[in-house]
Amino acid sequence: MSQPRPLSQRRFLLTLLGGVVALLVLGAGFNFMVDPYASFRWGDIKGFNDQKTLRRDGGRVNKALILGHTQFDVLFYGTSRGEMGFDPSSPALGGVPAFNASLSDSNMAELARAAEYAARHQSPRLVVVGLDLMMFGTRTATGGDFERSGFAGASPWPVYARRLLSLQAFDDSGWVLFSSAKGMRQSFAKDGSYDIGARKKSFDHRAEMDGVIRSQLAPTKAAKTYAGFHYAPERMEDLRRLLAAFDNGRTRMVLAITPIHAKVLEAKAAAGLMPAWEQWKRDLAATVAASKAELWDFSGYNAVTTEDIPRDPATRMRWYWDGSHFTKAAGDLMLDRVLAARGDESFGIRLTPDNVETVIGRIRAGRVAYAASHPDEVAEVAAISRR
Amino acid sequence: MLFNSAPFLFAFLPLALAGFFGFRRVGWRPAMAFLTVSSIVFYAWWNPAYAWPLAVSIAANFALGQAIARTRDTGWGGTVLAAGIALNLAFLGVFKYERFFAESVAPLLGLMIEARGLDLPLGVSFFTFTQIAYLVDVRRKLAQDGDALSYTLFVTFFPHLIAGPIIHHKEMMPQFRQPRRQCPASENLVAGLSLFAIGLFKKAVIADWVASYVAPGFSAAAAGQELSLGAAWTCALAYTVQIYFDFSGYSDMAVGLARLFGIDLPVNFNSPYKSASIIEFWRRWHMTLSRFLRDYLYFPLGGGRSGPVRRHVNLMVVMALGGLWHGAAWTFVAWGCLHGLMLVGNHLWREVRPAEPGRGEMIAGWVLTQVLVIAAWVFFRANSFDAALIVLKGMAGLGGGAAKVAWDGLALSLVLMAFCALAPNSQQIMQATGPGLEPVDSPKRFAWAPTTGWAWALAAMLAVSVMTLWRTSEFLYYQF
Repeated sequence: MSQPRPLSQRRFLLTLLGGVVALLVLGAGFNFMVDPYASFRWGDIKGFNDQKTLRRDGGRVNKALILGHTQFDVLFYGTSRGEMGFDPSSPALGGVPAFNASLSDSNMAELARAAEYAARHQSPRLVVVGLDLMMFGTRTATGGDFERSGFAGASPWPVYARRLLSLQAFDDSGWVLFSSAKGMRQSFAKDGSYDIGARKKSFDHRAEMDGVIRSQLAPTKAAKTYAGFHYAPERMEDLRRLLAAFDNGRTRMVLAITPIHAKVLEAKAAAGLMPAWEQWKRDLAATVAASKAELWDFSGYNAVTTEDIPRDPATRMRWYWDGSHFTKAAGDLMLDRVLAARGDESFGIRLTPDNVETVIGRIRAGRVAYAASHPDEVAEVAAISRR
Repeated sequence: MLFNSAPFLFAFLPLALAGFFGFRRVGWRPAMAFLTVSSIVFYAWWNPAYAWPLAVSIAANFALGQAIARTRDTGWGGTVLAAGIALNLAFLGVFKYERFFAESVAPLLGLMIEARGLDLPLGVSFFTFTQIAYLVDVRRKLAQDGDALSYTLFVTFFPHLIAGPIIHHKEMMPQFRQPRRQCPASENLVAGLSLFAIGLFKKAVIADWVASYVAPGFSAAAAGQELSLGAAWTCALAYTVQIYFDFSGYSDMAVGLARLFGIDLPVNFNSPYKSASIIEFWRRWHMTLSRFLRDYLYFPLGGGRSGPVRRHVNLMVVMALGGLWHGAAWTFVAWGCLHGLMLVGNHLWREVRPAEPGRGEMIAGWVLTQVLVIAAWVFFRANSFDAALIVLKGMAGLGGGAAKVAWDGLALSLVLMAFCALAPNSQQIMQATGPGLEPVDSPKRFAWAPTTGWAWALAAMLAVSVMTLWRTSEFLYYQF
């Protein structure tokens, strides 16, 4: 077999360096064509590149980029609860363009900045914000890649360069092609929502819920847990900033206190947070009353929040993943209640300064009734909190 | 500045090369001066405050070298050398071991010392060892440098400054005065760039890829969680592969970069995971450190000349100090002592069975060597003895725990281990270009040649590596 003819040194160098440039251009062209993170908005082809991913570890940059260039009629906000529970394809929305702009592991200070950015680029007709007490603590730090995103004022050009010329993007392009060809839904989809069910085939809800309760009650000073949490009323100022961002006369603002499962609410109580939780609701009602927004309370005790936790890992819960994160089915119920006034006020009641004490009293009574009907669940929480 | 960073690849290196070739037309000395300044910029880029300890160390050792040269034939020679070595060790101690001494050693001696926690200048272990070797060589009449510029370049030359290879004055200075490679610049560029591309790929693509399988297991162990058999072997094997591709990748890049300037550095790795014994492993792993420890510690201690017992004691001392050199923690000492024990055991085995091993024994020796090396790496990587023991317990099948087994990581690590054991190494692949200072075997397969195929293969490696620059990661050996 004949040997390949050697090149001159100069020719070898030119081929090598020219090859690098050519391969980088090819790689960038491939990433542009597949557009795995919906960065270049040239369109999706079903079966080719429609199953895009936002990547959880790059989610803030990708969400800011999308909010900067695509118009939506509906925006959802919240933390991971909002990201997992609010479905932009919910039937209650009637098929209008919607995007889940929630940020996982977030707080009100960060969400307010993200909302102000979105309001500069969007004119939505509806904004739904999922709220829970943990967003109103002392923690104001931004999370993930926030500081590299448009939310923090970063230029999009380095992001575009990175989307074209990174091995991660190349890898994700391949994954998007494969997923699209197979019709597999991405867990962190291009509509901004996160579907843990698309990633995990089996889900042991009881173990997950116990894990959440254990980590929330572990002795720690971390402000992310119930045990280390301190309510900071000054976060209401951040909420006012968020409300002001969309106070344009066209946008309906709906704030929703998310439906925490009764067992996880017991953990919150075990951490001594019930007085803070109730005061937070009073402060919310007062703050929202001074704006044009609506405040809805989906917490408390009802058929959704007291859903049985299966002891068999093969059985799926309908409304919850882990007691803190509700399913899209529960999110759809919430949207139905708010947008179509379906259902009764046992799940979702408009909260105002006038009825807040009544609602708080009703929830206190509901807690007593739950303890009587579910003594084993309450005892488990108490046992965990004593460790 | 990191070799695998965009500022280095797209700004510093092209400018350094262009400046060097420009000054080279004027003369070798101006080119040396330019390289020296460039190297100092390279070093100070990370943190300008680090440049002062480096400058003090170079100035002091240059003066000590002059003093040793003047007194080496007098009764004072040994004293000046001892003072020089003591000063260097004190320098290293102040920056690297002060906290370790205050927090771990002083309490054992009943002392209460508060650590000041000085910042560790990058590469302090490497440039201190390089200069200790220089002082000893001056005393032995193997080296002498009266030229401050060439001495400064010898220490600071950026390809080796931060993480080696540890170089000797006697092998480098002739090159700094007159490059060994009197070939056209394009030949050096082809050879250097090709080796650099292989090294960059090893670090930026392979080592950083497999690194993602290392942290979960060791983090879980650090948090006190037990590991299953699969999870423990995944993280231990992945680290075994990561540290090899990380450091050998760095060494390839260093040798390749030096070659761009017509300078040859010693190679630092020779397929260590092909070793069928621990003795062989240490002839193939971090070869310039092994050489340093042998020539400047083991031999001065008496080596193997004073009987087998003394030889084994010397080996243990050398390996324990070699472990401590890697990091100021007892886990590093434990790693060194484990290797010391393995070396002693290996020597004893050879005395019991001096015959040439057969094929079966070679295979058994290879398996045993790899298992022992992997187990010892656990102490090197773990941040405490408790964490190391949890991983080792898991590897022995005695753990449990909920940490997930990353089967893809385990498969990847095994494939890469097989590659390390079977494929030719970088310098063998590049044998046709004469990489490094020592002669290299030619491989049976995958031999580089200046062909279109190799140009495209290396272009692909470089292009993929460039696409990883967004998540530039540090080299493991920077912290040592």
